[in-house]
Amino acid sequence: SLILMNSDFLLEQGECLAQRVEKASTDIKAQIDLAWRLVFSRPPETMELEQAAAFLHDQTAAFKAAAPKATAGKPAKSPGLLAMANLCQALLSSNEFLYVD
Amino acid sequence: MHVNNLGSRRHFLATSAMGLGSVALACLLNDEGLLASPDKPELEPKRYDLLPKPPHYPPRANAMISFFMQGGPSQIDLFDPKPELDRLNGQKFTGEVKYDSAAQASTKIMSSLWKFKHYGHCGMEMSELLPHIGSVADEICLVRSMHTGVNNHGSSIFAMNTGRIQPGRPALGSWLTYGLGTETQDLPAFVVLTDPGGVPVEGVLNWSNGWLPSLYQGTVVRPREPRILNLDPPSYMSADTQQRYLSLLGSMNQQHLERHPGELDLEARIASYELAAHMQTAAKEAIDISRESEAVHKLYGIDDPKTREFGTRCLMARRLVERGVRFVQICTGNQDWDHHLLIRKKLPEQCLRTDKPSGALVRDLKDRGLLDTTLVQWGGEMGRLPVIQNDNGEKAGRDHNTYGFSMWMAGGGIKGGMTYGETDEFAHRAVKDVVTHCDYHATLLHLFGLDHTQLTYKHNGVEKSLVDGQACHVVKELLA
Repeated sequence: SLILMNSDFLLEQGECLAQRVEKASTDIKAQIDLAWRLVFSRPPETMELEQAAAFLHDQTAAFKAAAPKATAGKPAKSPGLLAMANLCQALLSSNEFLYVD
Repeated sequence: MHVNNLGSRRHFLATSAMGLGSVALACLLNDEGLLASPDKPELEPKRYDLLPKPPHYPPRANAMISFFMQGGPSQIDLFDPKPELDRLNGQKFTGEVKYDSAAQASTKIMSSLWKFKHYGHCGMEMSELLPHIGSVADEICLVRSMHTGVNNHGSSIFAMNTGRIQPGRPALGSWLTYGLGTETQDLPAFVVLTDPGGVPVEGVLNWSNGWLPSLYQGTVVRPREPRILNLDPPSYMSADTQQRYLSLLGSMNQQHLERHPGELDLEARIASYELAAHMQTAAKEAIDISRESEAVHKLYGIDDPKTREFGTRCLMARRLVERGVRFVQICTGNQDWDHHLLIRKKLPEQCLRTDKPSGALVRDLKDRGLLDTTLVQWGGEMGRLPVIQNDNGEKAGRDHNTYGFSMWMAGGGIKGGMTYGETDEFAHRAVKDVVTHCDYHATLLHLFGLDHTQLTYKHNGVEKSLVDGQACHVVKELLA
């Protein structure tokens, strides 16, 4: 579980997926829908969609409040992207993705 | 937005490919009267967790530290003095011997290469190579009549560590945590401290949960920094944002579990996230020996390059047990004690690096009042033969012997200052008060308040246990 939570590999994959869904649409719900389809090969259920949107809202606000600073010449990542990267990492770390039915 | 209400490809396959076929098969079997009558239904799906559970009767021990000296320390040179061997040194051994490496075998008797000394008030006889273990002799019960009777490493390791000589069964630590849970939910219940010299023979099977739920698998702590990988969250994650992340993941996994009830691996993975979150802070603190005093570092030999590595892990083991971990295994390296060759040089090397920390751990536990409830065990999966292997001067070594070997235990309700059992006059075969691996297991479960016939798990329709129906008894003479 520590690998899935904190390893560079998983963090990177979460971020790549976040960039891909953000590029596809500006609508948050469409982004969530695409993430679900890419990871689980199914659309999210209504409740899942709402849960994910609420998570993105709260997490973005928290990252904004903490305002990560640019370090060593690298530009700071936007709070919205970090939140979406969190969501994507959660999908990639979920039992539905990890275990074959 | 495009919405597909026909369900996913996965759902379609899951419900159509097996679905209709299995219904048809069940109908046919039922018509033919071939369908087995259903097993008695479980009223509730079984749940497993690591919360503390009461044993069958009041326990003496509530934690265990096992020194796994893999390879087979020589009982002849360390624990089991035989004047008769000294007298016959260099002569032909006329008894029957089972060799593992017949090509280099000889029948020439080789008595102990080191002197024995009396240690403690009890006067326990052990090698001059083990002065620090000797210094805690009054806490130790030395068993000189161990027997597994299967002459190679893998099988004998399985016997000592999992109860039977076959692979695939749960390790001791898994049984104890299955039976008793653990006292802290912030650290793994079953921890293995591996050696820089590699993992023991049979590798990960040594800390496998076998067919017990995955929750009871051992957690490996690496022998070098970082001891636990990926313990630190990325810098932009605060406690608050990580908590929100984990609760989202937890709720997704919970909804998934509701669609797949009773899947133990899924439950284990959910529990594993909870543990991982706690571990980020608790584990770091638990294995940070810099918080210990200089005197403690000295006691374990951490100030000395020769004993630093092993001493560090012994001190970590004490800190883990102190914080409520149920079972800790400290390994030596792959085949470190397997002295077929060069025993004159290699046995003292192993003793030098492990003796002081091993003795220190017993003393430290005693000083902290933890020894009463912590069972310490020190031994390998076999001993060695009284005849030379590689009869070539300094190259001499000893071959395997699982018919009579030694191990010691201390604390956790074990009687201190006693030796138990005897081998024959050649320290070859256990002949008096023989203790098999099953007797050892029944006894250690007893110390934890567990009845070896009652601690069972149903696997493939059969009630399985650590001793698994093999003849055995609790060795009452070892109990304080």
